[in-house]
Amino acid sequence: MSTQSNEAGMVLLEVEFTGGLELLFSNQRKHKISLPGSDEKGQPATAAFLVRYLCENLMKDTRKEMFVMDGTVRPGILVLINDADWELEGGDLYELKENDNFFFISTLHGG
Amino acid sequence: MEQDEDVDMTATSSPSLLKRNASNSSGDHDSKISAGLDQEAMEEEESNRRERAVMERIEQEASAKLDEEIRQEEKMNRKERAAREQLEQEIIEDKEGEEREQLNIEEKEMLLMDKAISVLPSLPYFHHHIISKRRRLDGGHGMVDDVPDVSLFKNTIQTLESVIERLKSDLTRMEAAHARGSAELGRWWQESKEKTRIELKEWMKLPSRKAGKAEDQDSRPSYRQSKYQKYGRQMCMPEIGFDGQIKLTKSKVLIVGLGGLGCPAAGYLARAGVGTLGLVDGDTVETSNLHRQTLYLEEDVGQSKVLTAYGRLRQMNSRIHYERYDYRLTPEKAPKLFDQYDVILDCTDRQSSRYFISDAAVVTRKPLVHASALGTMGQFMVLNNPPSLIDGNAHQGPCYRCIFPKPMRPENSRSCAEAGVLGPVVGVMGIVMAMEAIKLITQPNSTPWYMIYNAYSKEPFKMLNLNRKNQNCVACSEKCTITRELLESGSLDYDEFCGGRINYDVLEDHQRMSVRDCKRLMDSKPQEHVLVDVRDKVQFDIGHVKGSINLPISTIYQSPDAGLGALGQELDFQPTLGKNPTVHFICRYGNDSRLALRQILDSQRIREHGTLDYGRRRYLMGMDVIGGYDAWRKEIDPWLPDY
Repeated sequence: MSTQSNEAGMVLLEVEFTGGLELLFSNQRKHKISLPGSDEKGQPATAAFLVRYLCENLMKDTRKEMFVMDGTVRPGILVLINDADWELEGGDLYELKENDNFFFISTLHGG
Repeated sequence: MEQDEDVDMTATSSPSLLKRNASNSSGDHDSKISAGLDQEAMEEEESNRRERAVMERIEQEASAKLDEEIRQEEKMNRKERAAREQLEQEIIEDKEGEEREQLNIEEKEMLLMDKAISVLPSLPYFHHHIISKRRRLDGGHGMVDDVPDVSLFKNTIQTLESVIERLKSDLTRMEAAHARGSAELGRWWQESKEKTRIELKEWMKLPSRKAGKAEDQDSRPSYRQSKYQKYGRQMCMPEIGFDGQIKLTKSKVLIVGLGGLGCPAAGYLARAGVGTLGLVDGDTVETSNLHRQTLYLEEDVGQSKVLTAYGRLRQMNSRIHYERYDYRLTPEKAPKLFDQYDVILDCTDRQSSRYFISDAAVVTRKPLVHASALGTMGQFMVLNNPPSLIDGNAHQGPCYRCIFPKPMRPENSRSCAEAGVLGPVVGVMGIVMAMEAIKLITQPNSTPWYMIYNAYSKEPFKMLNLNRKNQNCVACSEKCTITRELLESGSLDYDEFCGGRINYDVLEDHQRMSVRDCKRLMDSKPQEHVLVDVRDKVQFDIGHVKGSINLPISTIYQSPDAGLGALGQELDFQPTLGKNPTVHFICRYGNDSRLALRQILDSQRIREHGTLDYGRRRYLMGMDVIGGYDAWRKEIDPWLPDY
């Protein structure tokens, strides 16, 4: 199944950061972004591509390790795709669809 | 039935008499040899007969009155009887010594007690009879007196021995007073009698007679009534009901951490009437806790959290049992402690404790209610529910490690001290924990769930489907490597696992100075030195060192070079500075300022030029201020806010 993209070959997504991650993204929780429907190698854009894309284009902070580690989101971040655990959706390999909602939550330990 | 009782009674209450009778008959035999002994034997038999008569009368009285109780008991219908048994069981378990529901029983037993004391030698048997009869009344096992309770007997002898020891010392004192002709003698006699009475009553575990008498029977509701009144509003909920309330009354809940989560959770659970509430915390109350930790008052600052909480909770509900653990929980101690409870609440505030509490809950097979809060956000989960590895339970709930197999690095995790936290946010999470604990106790089959709370979001509560049972989990799967033995051995280093501490040691010693040295520099050559505060703007606005400039560390992290640009621009407006000023860095405690200076020294601009050239000036990068704003406030300017 190929990534659903619009006529211009772009996918429109909503990404949301919470649990402190918003600090890495201009202190803004919700972002509407548009990214290419296929990755660097011409393959359909996946969640892994989205994470790379966010790191390179949306994240201004220099501390990339606060968001990614070993090529995927760092430990302690939960990712939900349309409110469902991304592990159930294939994780990194999930292929992006138009209007998907990605929710990144960094876990907290305070009490 | 009565017949049975009587047979029972004679059989068990008279072993000593039987023995004496046996020796009497041998005395009769000896009479052929000595007529004098005959007379002695007759006298002894006569006294035995009298003693036996007294005992039989007392025992018959006791038996008849207690039998009457049993008959009353059997008239009650089944349901009421079950309820009554439950409640009577609770009364006996109640360590505070509550008023007996039926004062009649108490009065009669007291009367019997007083008489029993007058026939001291048969007391062990009499005691055994009363206790075993009461056990049967309370729905216990077996016939009255059918099996002699050796440990009870031994305990009785020991108690009597200690009473006699004290009587001996009383006697010595009274003898001395008697010899002196002291007027105190009468008082001491009364005192000794009263002490004996109290000690024996304590041993018989009967409530104090005075307490019972002092209360007006009509104006004071019975124990049971007060219980219905106290829990009535929740008992009449179909979700709880009578059965649910009994489950709560029998439940044992452990709260680990008495901070912003633990305080409201403990309060609601105490009020709901859980049977036992365990409280664990090794901290003392600090002023900065008061805005969110609802069990503490201003006057408690510096006091133990556990002991203070215990005092407050007892004021909320004195009828439940509390266990106090006034220490910081460690992985070694956790399993043994968790064994004693039904539900565990993780109200701690560190990642390492989150992991070992989850591991301990898995090995002890206890459901774990987990929540955390920071800033304006809270997170909530029910973990290990249903508990793990029971006959390869297919529906076993995920544990903390299933969801977070790898810990996050300490620099990604902020504490309440760094990031701040709102009282109601953490309070909401604590209250949700209490609610979930009540659900786990009353309806154990509730499914696990995950919820996040964002106080400032348009959708404050968000439910997440987090079905993440990890089939390869190191803690709770069949392939697990974390065992109870390993946990208890103390060989698992959870701090190490969680990445230890952030390395702030990124500067040379000559790159750091004390607040006093800094103050001296600023005062002596104000044109040549400038102080940059890297806290965020909100904190800077609460209070800052006079003359310092704000450059939040987040700006530096976003781009050290851009940060330097912003700094140059800001400093350009400072008319008092000289041509080549030196820039020093300060933060709250002297940690972030080191990281900030390191970032700046490592930036392309400084690495290539060594200085920041901006406008008319050339800035040199100076030092970090040890201890930061906090040390400045303590040593230089006590008027700065201690926020």
